[in-house]
Amino acid sequence: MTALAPAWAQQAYTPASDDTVLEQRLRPSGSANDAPAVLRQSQRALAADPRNPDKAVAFARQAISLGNEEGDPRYFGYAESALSPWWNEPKPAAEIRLARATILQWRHDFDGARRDLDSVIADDDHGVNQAHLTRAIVLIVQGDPAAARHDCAALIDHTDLLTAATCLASSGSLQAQAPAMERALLTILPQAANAPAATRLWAQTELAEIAVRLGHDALAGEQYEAALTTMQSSGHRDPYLLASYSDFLLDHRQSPRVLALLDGLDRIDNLLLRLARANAALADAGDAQARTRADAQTQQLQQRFDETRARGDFVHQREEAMYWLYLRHDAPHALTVAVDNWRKQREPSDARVLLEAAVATHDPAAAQPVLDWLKRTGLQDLRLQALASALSTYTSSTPSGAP
Amino acid sequence: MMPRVFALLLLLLMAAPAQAHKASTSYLHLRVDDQQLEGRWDIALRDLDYAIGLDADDDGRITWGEVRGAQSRIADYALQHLKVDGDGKTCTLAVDGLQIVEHSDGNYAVLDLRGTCSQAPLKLQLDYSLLFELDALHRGLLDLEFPGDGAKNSSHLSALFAPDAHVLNFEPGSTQVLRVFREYFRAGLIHVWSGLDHLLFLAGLFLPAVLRRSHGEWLPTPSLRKAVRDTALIVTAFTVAHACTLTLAATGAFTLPSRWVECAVAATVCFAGLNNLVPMVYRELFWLSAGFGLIHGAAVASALIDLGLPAGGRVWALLAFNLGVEAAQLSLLALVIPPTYYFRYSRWYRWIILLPGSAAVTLVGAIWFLERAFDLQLGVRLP
Repeated sequence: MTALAPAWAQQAYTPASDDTVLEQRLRPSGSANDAPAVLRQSQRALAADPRNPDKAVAFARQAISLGNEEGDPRYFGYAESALSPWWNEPKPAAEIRLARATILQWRHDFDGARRDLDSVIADDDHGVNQAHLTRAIVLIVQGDPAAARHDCAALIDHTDLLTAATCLASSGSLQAQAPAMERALLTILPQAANAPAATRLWAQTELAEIAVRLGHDALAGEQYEAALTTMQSSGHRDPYLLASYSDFLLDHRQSPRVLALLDGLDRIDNLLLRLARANAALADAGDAQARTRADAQTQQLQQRFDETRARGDFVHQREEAMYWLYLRHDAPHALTVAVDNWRKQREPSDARVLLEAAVATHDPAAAQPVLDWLKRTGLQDLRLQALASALSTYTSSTPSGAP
Repeated sequence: MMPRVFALLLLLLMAAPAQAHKASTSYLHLRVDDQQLEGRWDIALRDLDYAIGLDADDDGRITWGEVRGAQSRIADYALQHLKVDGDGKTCTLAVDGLQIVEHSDGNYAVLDLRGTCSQAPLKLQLDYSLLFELDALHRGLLDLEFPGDGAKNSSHLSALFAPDAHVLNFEPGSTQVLRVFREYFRAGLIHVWSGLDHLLFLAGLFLPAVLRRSHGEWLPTPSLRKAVRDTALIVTAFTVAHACTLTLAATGAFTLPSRWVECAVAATVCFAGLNNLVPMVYRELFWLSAGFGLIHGAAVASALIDLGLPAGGRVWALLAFNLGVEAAQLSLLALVIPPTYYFRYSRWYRWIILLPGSAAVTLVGAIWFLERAFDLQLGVRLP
């Protein structure tokens, strides 16, 4: 007898009143536009003419941007469905290849995304700038900032200055040029007050993260707040910024601020993880109600991982490693997940959870690929360097690897 | 133009850090109990809202009242996207309840499913197409349950429906074969016990079993053993012949016009009775019985085809059915022979049981024949 899906364990019920609210759409704060309604409109337009590439791409872009804001993969599924007439074609129109690459990259099919981006760039088609930019992001996620720099350099003179600069800063700061990149962004940002909100948001978040790695905490906090203001005025939620800022706040023991920042966003897994961590931190300081919330949120995360796995999907392993390390305090398991994650994703936050798990389990051997990567890229990150040197003491004092 | 394009483009590329989040999933639990289907289907309210619109007042909130008001639309939408076939025949499926359940990513509508297949399926095919045309990432998680003999012995099969795997086939396995065997064995028993034509025909054959014909006269049979052996031979010959035509007809090897076959059956009943009144064949009766078995088998085949033979288990089902027929006939034999054997010397057995009984069988057989041959209504219910 195979195990019952956990889904069957839950008891169905009849709500007490017709007024019981069962679902509530996430809406960007302060925004008047109802993006899901707009999406449904273009879905209807597309349904009337499903093989029209312009309508399909327009719909896919709307769906992807909504998927980003709400952290809901459904929208990526809608986007993929809209592209289904061309999905298996080797070389559809450049716009379709670009949208397809974005979805593949979101699904962590980096090779598939690269194939589409490479072909758009090779054709020098009119989406070539976007292809360079997207490919740079993919290369950064894959831990190859040197290759990403070439794509960023290709943007110079073809896009606005802030976009090219942020791209270069993003890759350059991962290659021993962090202080220079920090200075560059600090100089350019005030001159780019009229740049689109999305571009400024990206630049501010990038600058904050560089400052964190260099130990410039005051600047980091300032830039995170600036990015938050940009986000709020743009009317679009950016879960990436919220997660990044929350990690910064958690490192500085500002859990109440995290709870306020992420209030009502527990639907997004990455943010639920940060909420659970904030509550756990408050609970450790003696807050009994926070303990109850932390336990419930931890439980909910576990259930989401289980349900995702039951679908046969990949679970985002960076977050899963964090879950095991910070919430379940199971460092050996966290290390296994983090090592697996490192095969695909190689950003500083992937390195951090792996090194922390390796330190907790006194296992420098498992961390070797990350230590090699740090050496190769020349990444400047105070926290990662401290973790690396902590690991090296294990290597010298306990050669067997056991404490 | 450029800045606007880039605003859009940046939103696109921000997809890079993938959100760990469960994509749209529905949970389908289906229990196949003989021919009954019972199940529960959990579908996310968010998915239903996107597909058919639940938020009636468009305030961004979905209330229980709105869900309840959309119950029939939800049921229609769901049932349009799920097809259950048992042995190649579509099973009925209906939604007879709507509730709510909370999964880790929000509230789901819970549909109680109920349905019927034409028989306990040996092969089950599920065709699931919910949301696939809207959401390429949607998946359906299936838990298929086949109850065993006890509550604990039920077996579960899990599977995943995806756009490129939306039709799944299941063979429930040995327990289900056993269940089919039992079901058709029972159908064979009932066919004999409740089939008036069958009973009358057998009565015609059995009534003189404890007698033997000698020089134009009925004499008591000398031994019980001979009486039992002779009648068992008659019955078995009938069953074997019955099985032959039944199997051939039921597997589609040949088809006979049903009116012709039914007339022939009525004629055999009539003949069996008449043969006791005006003996025509009284030696080696089993040959007669075998010949009649051929005719009865052909008649039953069409009924059995209508009942729906499981495609994968036709041999099993036919064997079970024939064994059921044989068992029922032998049981009748065991019931009838001992008392008739006891009274075989009494005169009144002949005058009160054998002759009037045979006359009644002859008459009913004749009436059926007329009714079937000429499409008349003579007031005797057809079997």
